[in-house]
Amino acid sequence: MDFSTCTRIMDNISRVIVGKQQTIKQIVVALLADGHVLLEDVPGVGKTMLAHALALSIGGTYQRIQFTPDLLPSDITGFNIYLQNEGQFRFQQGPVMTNILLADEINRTVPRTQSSLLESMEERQVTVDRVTYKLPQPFFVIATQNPVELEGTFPLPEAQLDRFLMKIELGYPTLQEEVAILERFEAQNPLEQLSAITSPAEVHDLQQLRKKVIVSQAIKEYLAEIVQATRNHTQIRFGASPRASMALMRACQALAAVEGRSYVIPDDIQELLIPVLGHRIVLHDQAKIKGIQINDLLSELAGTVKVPGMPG
Amino acid sequence: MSEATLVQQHSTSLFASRLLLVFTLFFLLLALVCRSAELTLFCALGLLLFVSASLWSKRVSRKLDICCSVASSRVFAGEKIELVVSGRNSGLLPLWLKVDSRLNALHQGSSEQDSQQFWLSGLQELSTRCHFPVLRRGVYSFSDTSLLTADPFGFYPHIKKQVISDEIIVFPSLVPLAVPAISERLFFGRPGWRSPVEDPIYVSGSREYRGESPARRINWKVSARLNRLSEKVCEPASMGKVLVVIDVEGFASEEMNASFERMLGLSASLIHHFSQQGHQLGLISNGRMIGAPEALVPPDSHPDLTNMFELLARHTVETGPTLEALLGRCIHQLSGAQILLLCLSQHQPQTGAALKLLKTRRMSITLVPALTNTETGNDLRVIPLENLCLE
Repeated sequence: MDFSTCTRIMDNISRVIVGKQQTIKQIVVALLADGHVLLEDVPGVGKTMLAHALALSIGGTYQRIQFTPDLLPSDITGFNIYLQNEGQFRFQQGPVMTNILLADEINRTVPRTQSSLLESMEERQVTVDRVTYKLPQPFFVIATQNPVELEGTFPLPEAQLDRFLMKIELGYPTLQEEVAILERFEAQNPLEQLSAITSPAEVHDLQQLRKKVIVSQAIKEYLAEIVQATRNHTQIRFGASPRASMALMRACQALAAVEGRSYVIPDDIQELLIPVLGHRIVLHDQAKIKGIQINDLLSELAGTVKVPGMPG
Repeated sequence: MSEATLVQQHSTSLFASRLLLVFTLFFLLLALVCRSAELTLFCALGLLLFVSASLWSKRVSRKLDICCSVASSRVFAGEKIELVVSGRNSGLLPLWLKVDSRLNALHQGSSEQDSQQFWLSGLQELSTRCHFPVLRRGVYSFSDTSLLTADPFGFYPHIKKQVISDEIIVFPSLVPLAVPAISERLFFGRPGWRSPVEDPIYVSGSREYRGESPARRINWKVSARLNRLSEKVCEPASMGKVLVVIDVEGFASEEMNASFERMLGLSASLIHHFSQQGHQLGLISNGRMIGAPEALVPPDSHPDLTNMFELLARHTVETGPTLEALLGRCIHQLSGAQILLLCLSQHQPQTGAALKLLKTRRMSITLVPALTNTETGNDLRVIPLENLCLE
């Protein structure tokens, strides 16, 4: 199995995004796992640029939707327009018909509009007036939300959050990275020089090839035990769903592929535990009041489950 | 988790006391003078035992690396505080270890003690947890946590004092409550008032037009497409604004202590309930706080519940700044708020002053007195604490 294209995609994105190697790798892992990504961070740290660089790297189409409170589902999915001269309706496709979709500030729109993305994210199709339209392959949603501003926002419902394979935080660059950003963007925008190094068809083939990465029985049991542990913890109200288990396995296969392995190891699960499960778990109110962090809880849970191959 | 600071002390057991050593030396001298071989051998063995035990104890004490930390510094009343003791005997000699810890309630003067003993062989690691159930809310801290290490005979114990600087906050436990109805307000104007901007403003969908709805709600585009009258359905835009005000005046006596704790438990439950409803929430109290300047949290749509619960945990029965002064500082933020005033009775001077101030601002007040014989005023809604608290 040759996944060297993934490395080339990461290198290509790194020509625009300074540092953030872990984030870039996670984005490529999510793309390879046929999932979607929710980026939560403050404005200006490069969320949009990252999405755009990825779209340019895979040579696919790219659309951006700025989510606002007055956005309607039809503004995303598309709608039927009546053509008077032809005397019939014609489907006007929405921005969702693309390879890479950037849903900017997704929590600024009402839950009804947020939910209009559910079908397209899960089933890769949209239904308008009883007619179903298939989305182009690959279809990858990068949604962003600002964790600081809460006024006038609508938190994503659990069903919507569960559709995202990963929730990633970018974080501010370091001092050296900041200087490198200034130097890189001093004369021109490197995004303008970025060219495609692969094609959507090849990415789609890689997504199919990823399914052949071996997940042994012991690894599956280890993964299932961690997910089960989230359901039995006293501080957790809603643990991870079976969809989360499948998502974690897919992501681990993708990570193994990106790292040049044809099999998943426990380290893959531990590395992806927080980005894949963190946003799918709901804490009890009392745990929230106590200030318990989901990430700390997941790390603690991972420590309690016996790692396959390790002595008891 | 917090690291602990070690303060090492030396302690001597009865067997290894100087007096016993002097006696042994005296008998050894006597045995030598009297040329008694048995007594000489016995005393020499005794001395050897003391010396080797002393050296053993010193060595194992140096080779023990230990750390005490609090697993969670925030718990609810009725839960357990966990003290995590982890360490390693990096030497080859086995040792005896005793962990004594004491949990003190800062505002009550009470304390709880726990003691555990261990036998650690060479190069063995230790990880254990001491549990302290806490039944009352408050601020707690560990003091006099000592680690007693000794030789296998326990002759020369060494005490390592642990200073755990963390304060542990115990929140009041939530109680079942009969939720008081509160009035909700709209973003634009008040319910029933005419406003230039229609409230709610966000259109969430459309449905078939019903005759009783105003004609301005008709969605003409949808009506034209469907060939039947349709009206807009709007998102709910109403929101409640609640301010919990606590007057601690009059609760200082011993017999009112239970009522005071109950009032704080009820306050916590009210805050928790209204936050779940998505209301704006605030908290003001004239009680003196342990380790915090004052309890003044103006109503906010995204309240920091941890902070508000912490303030309730830090509460003492002593009075701090006056309610009137605290309310005056945030009065401009209280527009449209529903005030829940928890107090002993409305006849307390500070309660009376606060009521007077709030009435001049025409605010909606619900008085929740701990005493059931409080008179009901004409313009005041009174719900006794007993009626709200179902426990």
